[in-house]
Formats: sequence, C-alpha cells, structure tokens
Amino acid sequence: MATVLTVDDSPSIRQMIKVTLEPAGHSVIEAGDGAQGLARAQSSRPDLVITDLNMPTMNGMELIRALRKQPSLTGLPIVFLTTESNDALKQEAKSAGATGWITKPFKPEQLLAVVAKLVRS
Amino acid sequence: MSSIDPTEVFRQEAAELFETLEGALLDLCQRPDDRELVDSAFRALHTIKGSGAMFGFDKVAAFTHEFETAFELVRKGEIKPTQALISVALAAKDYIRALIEAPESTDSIIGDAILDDLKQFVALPGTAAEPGQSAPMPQAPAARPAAHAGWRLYLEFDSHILCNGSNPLDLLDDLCKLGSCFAVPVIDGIPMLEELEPDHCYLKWDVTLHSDCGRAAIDDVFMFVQDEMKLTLAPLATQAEAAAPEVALQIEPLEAATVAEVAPAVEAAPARATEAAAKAPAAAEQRRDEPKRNEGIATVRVQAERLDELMDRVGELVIAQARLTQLAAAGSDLSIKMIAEEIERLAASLRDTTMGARMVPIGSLFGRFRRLVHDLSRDLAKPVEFVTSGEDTELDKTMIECLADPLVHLIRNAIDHGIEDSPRRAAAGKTENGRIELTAVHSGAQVLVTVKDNGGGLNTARIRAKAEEQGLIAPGATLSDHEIHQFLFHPGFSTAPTISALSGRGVGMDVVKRTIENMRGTIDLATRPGQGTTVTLRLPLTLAIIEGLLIRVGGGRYIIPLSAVEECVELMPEHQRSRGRNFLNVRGNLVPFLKLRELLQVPGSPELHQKTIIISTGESRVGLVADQIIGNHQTVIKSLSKLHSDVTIFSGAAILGDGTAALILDVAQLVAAAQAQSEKQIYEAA
Repeated sequence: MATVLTVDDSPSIRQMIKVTLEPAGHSVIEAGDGAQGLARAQSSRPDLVITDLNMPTMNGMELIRALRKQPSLTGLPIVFLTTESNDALKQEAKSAGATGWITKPFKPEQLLAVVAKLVRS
Repeated sequence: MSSIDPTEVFRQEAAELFETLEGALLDLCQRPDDRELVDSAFRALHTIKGSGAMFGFDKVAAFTHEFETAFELVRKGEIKPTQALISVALAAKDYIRALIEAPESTDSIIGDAILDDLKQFVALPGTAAEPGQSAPMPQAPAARPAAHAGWRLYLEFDSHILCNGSNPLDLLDDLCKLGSCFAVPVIDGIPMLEELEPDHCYLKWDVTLHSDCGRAAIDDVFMFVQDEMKLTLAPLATQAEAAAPEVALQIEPLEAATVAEVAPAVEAAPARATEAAAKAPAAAEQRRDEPKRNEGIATVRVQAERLDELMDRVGELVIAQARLTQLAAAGSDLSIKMIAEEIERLAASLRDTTMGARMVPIGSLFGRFRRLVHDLSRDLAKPVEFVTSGEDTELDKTMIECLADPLVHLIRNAIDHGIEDSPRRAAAGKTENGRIELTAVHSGAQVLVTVKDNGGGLNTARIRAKAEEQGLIAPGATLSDHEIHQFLFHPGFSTAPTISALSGRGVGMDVVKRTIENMRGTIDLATRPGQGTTVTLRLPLTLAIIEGLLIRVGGGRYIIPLSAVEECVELMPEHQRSRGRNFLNVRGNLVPFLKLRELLQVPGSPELHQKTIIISTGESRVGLVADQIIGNHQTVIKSLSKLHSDVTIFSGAAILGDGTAALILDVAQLVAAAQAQSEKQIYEAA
C-alpha cells in the first residue's frame, strides 16, 4: 500500500491521520513543519503528501511550491488540510501545485477516500 | 502502535498550545504592535479549533471559532489588542481549557458571557457559521435523477495536470466505478515528437457513461481538478441513443480494453523522462533552498514513567557495572579488566544521556507565573513588572514539577508582602512599578533559582517580636538578623496582621522549605531594608544519581555527596586529643570538626590515621572525621523505607559494588544534629 507523509505542526492531527491510515495498510511518516516535510519527502519518497497550510518555519504553501520544484518528485500528489472553506486560499494552494484538499474537521472515511482517489496500488 | 488514545494526545497538545497562547497574550499587553505575537496566538487558536473539531470537542470548536473570528480582526490590524481585550481573551482561553478538561461540568453560560464581552470590542457576526462543514468527499449519491440512461462527457485537461499529481487515468477509473463506461482518447492535440513535453497531458477523452448516477457524483470525481479542466457533459437522452455510439466521434471508437492498454504507456513516460532530464538543475535548486530550511529539532513524546523506568534500569546497570569493576580489579585477567573499563565508560555515558533526557528547561515553569503575576498585580492594584531570565536552565523533570508550588508561594509573598503599594513606593522615592525577578542559573552541580523583589524588605524587628510572642526565643537573646529571618520557615509563623486570600495564614514558608529540602535543596533569604528581598533556592541537578565520596567509619561505609565536599585533610594526632569543641586549622582558618565515630556511635577506639573531609553547608564549613576515605563513587540513590523516615541524618542508601549497602549522609542535617547534641551537652554540664 501507499506511504503517506503527513506534515502538520499539530501532533494530534498527525496521530489522527496515522490511526486512520495505518489500519488500512498504509504506512505513515510524519513531519512537524514544512522544512522537515521537504526533507522527509526527499529522503523517503512518499506516494502522497498531506500537509497543513498554517505551520511555523515553512508553511504549507511554501512546502507545496518547494516540492513542485523538485524534479524527482514530479507528479507526487499533494493534499492540503484547511479549516476554512476559503476559496481564495484554496485557489492559491492549487496554483502553487496542490493536487487536492481536505477540509477539517474530516471523518476517517473521507481521509481514506482521498487517499484511495489519489494513490493507486 | 495505536494504543495511545488520540484524544489524550490532543489534550496534551492543547495544554501546550494554551501556554503558547497565554504567553503571547501576556506579551501583547506589553508589545501590542508585535505582529509575531498576534500570529503565534492566532496559530494556536487555529490549531485548537481544527483539532478540537476532529476529536469531537464540538463545543470547543464552535467557541474557538468565534474567538478566532474576533482575533482575525486583530490580526488584520482592524482593532488594537488593548488591555481590556486581552483580559477577555485570557478568560476565553480559560473557558476553552475548561471545555477540554471537563466538558460535562463546564457551563456554557460562562462562554456566552465571554462572547458578549468579546462583542463589545468586535462586531461578531450574529450567528457564526459552523466551522467548515463542507467536506470535499464523494457524498452519498444525491436523490435519483430523472430517468436517463447516462452521460456523455468530453474531458479536456490542462497540460500541467500530471505535474500537479493528478492522473487522468485514475479519474477515468473512478468514472468506471459509476457504471459501464466507454472512453475514447482524442489524440489530435498530441504534437510532433520534438515539440512534445514529456510531462504535459495532451490527450482528451470522449466518454460515454451508462449509469443512473447524478451530476453530483460526476462532479465529485473531478472535484480536485475542476479548475484545471474543461468538462462538457450532457445526459444521454434515450436508451437508443445510449446504445449506439455516436457517429460524430472524432475517431472511430476502439475497444475499451485497447484504450486502457494504450493509456498507461502515455502516462508512464512523463515521470521517468523528467527525472533524468532535470538532475543538474535539481542540485542547484536544492542548494538554493538550503539556507531557508530551518533545522527543526525533531522531538519524540515519551511518557514520563518510561523515563523513570529507564533511569531505574540505568541505575541497576551502574550498580552491576561497579561490581564487575571490583571483580575485575581483584583478578589478574587483563582482558576482563579492559572490558570492565569499557563498560564503565559506556555506563557513565548512558547515565549522562538518560539524565539529559529527563532534563526540561525551567522556562516551561516560568511561563506559568506570568499569568499569576498579571492577575495578582491587578487584584492587589500593585503594578508589577515581571522579569525572568535563565529559562534555558535545565532541571530534572520531577524537580520542575515539585518546584511549581514553592515558587507560586514565593511569588505571591513577594507581591503581597514584599512590594509596597503605590503611595508607599512613591513616598519612599521608588519607581511606581514594583519589580519581581525570577532567575535560574547553573552553579556547579547545582541550580540556583532566585525570586527577587524590590519591595520593602523583611521587617526584622517585627519577626523578632513575633518569635518572642510565640515563645520561640527568649526575650533579649542575641541573634543575628539572618538567624531571626529563619523563623519565617517555622511552622505556623506569620507576621501578617490580617489574613488575606493570598497570604498571612502562616502556612507556606515551612512547606516551601520542606519541599525544597525533600529535593535535597536548600532555601535562603537575604533582605535589605527598603530595597527588597531575595529568596535563593539551591537545587541539585537530579534526584536519581549523585557523585559521592565513599568513606569508612569503623565497619560501616557511608557516602557524602561530592558536591558538598571541599577538600580532604589528615587529622593530626594533637587534634584527636582535644576535648570539647574541636577546631582544625586549615591554612589559617579555623574549621570546626565532628567525629563521625561519636556521632554515629561506632564502638571501639579510633584508628591511627584519621581523615577529615571538609564540607560546606550553606555559609559555614565543617570537617567530618572518618577512618578511611575510599574514593569517588557513582551513587544511585535508593530511598530509605518508611520505617526510617524519622532518621534525618541519612538522605538515602546506595548499593555498593560488592552488594552491600552504604548510607548517604545528609550533611546539613548531620551538622544540625551535632550542634543540637553539643548544645545539650553544654546545657547539661552547666
């Protein structure tokens, strides 16, 4: 199954993603901010990145742009988490190169559906 | 792995966020224009809201949403974070905390009241929308659409769609799940090979979908890409139309299976090709990005008990290692000695690492007091400036927890009794603001924590009068100021004429002293009339392991904490004969000494070459006379049983290399006991 990188400064969100995806057979790796996320994405080559937008050090928007600049990661699906259904923000993230989004709060099924949608085994 | 309750993780995280939030809010009081602070408060709120909703704290999410909306205005600079607004914000923070910690027993009336207060500052929208309910996931198929046979779709994707992680084939797969699907690629957009960009999507698709699904279901399939594609879609009108593929297709429809075979080849190409093509620019790119990347400290949360367990194990290891070293030293096998030495080194570094893992910067504790000072200074109408330094000083985690209550007490005392009210400060020609400094510094194997105020200082005469009144000292006895101040630590001693909610009950300073001493620390007071009081706590770095000096008295072995030892000198025979109070001349200074043989009531006559260990206790130096000094010893402290809890001169026991036990001397108590004993002797003699 897929390797999913979750980038979030909130350990509880990361935990939530982990306990949702691991029983479904995915393996989850974590990073606490954008900079760490970029490093982990380069080292671990995940199949999907789920990132928060609001983070210290390097925020989600910067992370998405940085990931899209990595030729070796071309086509990597990136999903961002957002609390507001803020269309401007969504647009900005999309044009930065995000593949999709999940609106918080989300239910485990929704998360699983997004992963299934973007990652094919 | 998933044995940790996610809700518990959230609670822990929330507790940290509250500290950040509170810190930011309090700082905002002083620096209302600091954007960083507003942002950090906002981020904390945002996370509490988001995570709260995820973990089922709906009330938290709803309330925090309103709070956040208000703060958004501050963030945008539309309203100023005034003192009054921050007070409301702090109350709101406390309410959210209560909602998380005790959701049942928290009354929403309080929340409503706080929101009302908030509305005074900001025009909140009457009813705030539920925080983000819209989830972008495939919803249950909407009501059955009108009877039609299916859909005819024409898909045209933006060329960069592959780079952004979307795969048109996956989308086609998703369409197939809705019903029987017939997809035909439209290839007229594909350029000549030399112009072909490998990571661009040139294909378009013409799809006939036989399904009774609604439009919503199709929109769900393309929801992430709807801005990056042109989707033309029309219902298939009749069974007949659906059955016969359109003639107007741009090319003849191929078998659906063939399409599926062709497509992966197209898809596979882009990723590989770009990978190789752009290696060189990639390296340059990375270098450019590097300085921006902040090396965050990766942390792992570990339960405190596990650390305690680890420390225990390391303790046992150190004991076992000591036995091995002893065994190796007794034998003549060189290779065993080498291994023993290596293990000794490893055990020592393992011990240091483990102790390091238990160390927590004291700043986490200091943060809590800012709120305390803020609230007290408001309640007592004494403006107080609170300054902390040395937040990075690290202390054993258990000690940090034990320190909280004593420090709360000391700070309360300082504000309530120490700092004078504004008129009196003005009369004394002092600044209007009182000042309380909380500092922590390393000093050898100890950490000094001081609470310093610039208030009126201790009233020595009043303490003395009170002590006489309570019969603690005889009227007219000659005591130094320092000795008189020690009465403050006496149980039930208070000079406050009236009991306030904060202090004056006389319960406290004795508890503070006992708590500190239980941690093998000391407490000391220094005061200058009219200028303030400084309370200094001296604490050991850790509670679990100390460096000790192993000594022998008669047949028993004892350990003196090495941090207390200043030097060791030989006891000359002429000193041994002297009677009464014993003094030793150490380089011109007279140092009193105690014979451990007598104190510990060891039978038999002293051995020929007695040694004196000079120790320092607070401000005085005392010599302890022992039969033999064996050497340094890594001491893993084991506490004595409850049965021995009234034995004050020993602070614990340790297991030695040969498996026997040695008692650890509590130096300060030992000296105090000896003093009491000799005073009794003098009294009886008189």
